Amino acid sequence: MSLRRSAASRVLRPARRRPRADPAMPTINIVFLLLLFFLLAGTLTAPGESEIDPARVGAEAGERLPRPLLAITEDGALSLDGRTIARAELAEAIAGLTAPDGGDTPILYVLAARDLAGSVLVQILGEASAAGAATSLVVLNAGGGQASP
Amino acid sequence: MRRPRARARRGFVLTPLVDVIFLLVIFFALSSRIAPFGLIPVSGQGRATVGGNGTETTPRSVAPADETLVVLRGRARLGSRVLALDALRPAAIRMREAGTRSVLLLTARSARTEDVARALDALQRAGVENVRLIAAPAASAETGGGEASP
Repeated sequence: MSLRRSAASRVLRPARRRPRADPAMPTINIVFLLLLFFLLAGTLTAPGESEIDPARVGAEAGERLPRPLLAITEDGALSLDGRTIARAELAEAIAGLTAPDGGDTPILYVLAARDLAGSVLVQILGEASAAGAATSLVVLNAGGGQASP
Repeated sequence: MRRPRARARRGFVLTPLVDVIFLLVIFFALSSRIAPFGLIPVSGQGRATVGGNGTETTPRSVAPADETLVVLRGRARLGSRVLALDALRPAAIRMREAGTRSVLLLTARSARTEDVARALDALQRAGVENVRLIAAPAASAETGGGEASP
């Protein structure tokens, strides 16, 4: 008797309504993943820097665009971290740079247009070195580097 | 006994959150650059030292080097040989194995940044320890012969 009553009450009990997931959740998940991707893989660029097409070499390591970044356009115009500077102001701008942790020489990263005259590049590198900065040339990894001997 | 009326639960409003995240995605998509950059350390007073940690110091005068490499547009002249820049790395490896430790890299007026970078990269990857980079004087004629038009 009691068994029959309990069975009846179980049948008559209204079905528990499960909370329905918001249909926007998959979209939000994908957008979060996109956000994470751009945060981790992207490099913020100042206006003008993204227009520079750097030299392509078979470099192996992939690096993010470092700072401080001296961008040199094809016609030799300079900008340091997005701020346009004259050639004569380069030494003064380098004097304002701070050395990385554990070093006493500031490092200036140079992003030069691939079609910039090589002699202009060498002159600017020389001026930067003379102003007391170690320089590093930013190139684009073209991939397909030759195998090591 | 009267049961208390169930309070209406307010749903979690996602729309403002999604709006903000979409704006962030658009910002990063437009302002970031996804490219595998590489770095070639260059240091010294108007010269380059490749292959070190970028902090070596070189003498102020242009000291003679074991070998002189002239970079032209798309080519390089090593001694009397004119090479395509693609063939520079094997030549640099042979040069290093023959005992060359320092290279004077001279950029001709026709050389572009791409040519200089490819030459530096080839020497660096070949294991040449000391590369000094100098530019040809502006008034001088084109350095070296055998330059092909691009």
